[in-house]
Amino acid sequence: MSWRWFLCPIVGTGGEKDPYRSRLRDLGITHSAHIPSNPDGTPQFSWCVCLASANDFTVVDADVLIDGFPGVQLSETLGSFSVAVRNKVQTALTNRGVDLTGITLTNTVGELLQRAGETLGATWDWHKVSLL
Amino acid sequence: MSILASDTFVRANNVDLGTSWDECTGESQVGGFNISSNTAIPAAVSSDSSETNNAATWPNDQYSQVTLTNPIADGVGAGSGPMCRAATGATVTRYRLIGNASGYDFARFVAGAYTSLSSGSGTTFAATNTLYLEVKTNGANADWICKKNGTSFASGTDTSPVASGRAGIAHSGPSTTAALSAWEGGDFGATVAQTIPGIIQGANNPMIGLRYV
Repeated sequence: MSWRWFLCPIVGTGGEKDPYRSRLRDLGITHSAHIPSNPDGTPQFSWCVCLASANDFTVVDADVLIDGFPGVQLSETLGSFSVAVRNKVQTALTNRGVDLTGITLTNTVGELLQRAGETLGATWDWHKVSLL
Repeated sequence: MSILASDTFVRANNVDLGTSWDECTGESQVGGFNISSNTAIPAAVSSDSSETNNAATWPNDQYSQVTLTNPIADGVGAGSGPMCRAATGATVTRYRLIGNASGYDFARFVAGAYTSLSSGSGTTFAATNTLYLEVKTNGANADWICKKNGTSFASGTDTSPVASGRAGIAHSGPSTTAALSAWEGGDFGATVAQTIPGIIQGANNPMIGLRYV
């Protein structure tokens, strides 16, 4: 079993059998999602940050609507990845409105993840998220 | 942790759980749960139903735990389980965790709007397994933990939390069977007084208002 973090679209209508949910659920991937809501229960954003666990992420990697964070450990610095990998995650984040001001090659993947989560909710903390 | 209320559901068959329980009338099945063969069963396994417990004054920091009797592999998103911070009456606002032999689903409901916050087949449930949900205030957030047989399988923090409500039980249909043989809910007890470190630990200790010179 391995664990990875993703940026995913939110799908669904919020109905009893059609919840607002990460697209990962429809792919059959066990996950926890950060989905802040408006006072009426509708999602504040069209996307969410997810921690997922699986033996095989092939189906997720093949989904063009889902973007994964790079690396194996959140402590890895952005400078340890190729330009292509960095550009891919940068595009994924900026397309979702994540402010990357101040992020440099010395920042870690965890700090990038935190920046994405804080875009959804300023007090979110990835350290609180766990999944078996 | 301390138990504020509990129920073994051992009593005569009845379409009502008793005076300690209130049906959530905003569900697709307004009848909540019934007593059958000394278990709590959904009034209709094809629909959603829930009941809140009124035997305690529920603090915002609370847990709710059920013992599953015979969960079947009816698919992720179906089954019975505990609720926390659940509104009463027709307002379907609460945290709900349900599980079965296929997997689990943890969700926030606000006025009926259902948001799945964690789900999957990574953790499944069999007869006599316990399913536990805990919700605690953490600043503006609510920290939540889901446990199976006392071991955490998912946790997180909700930045747009349901603020308060009762503990209870819930069902998400359609299920083949989704009976509960026990339930308990509780809080986390009084805060333990912390020992204030020695005043020479800091030049200016704001905890005790002294200045070390």
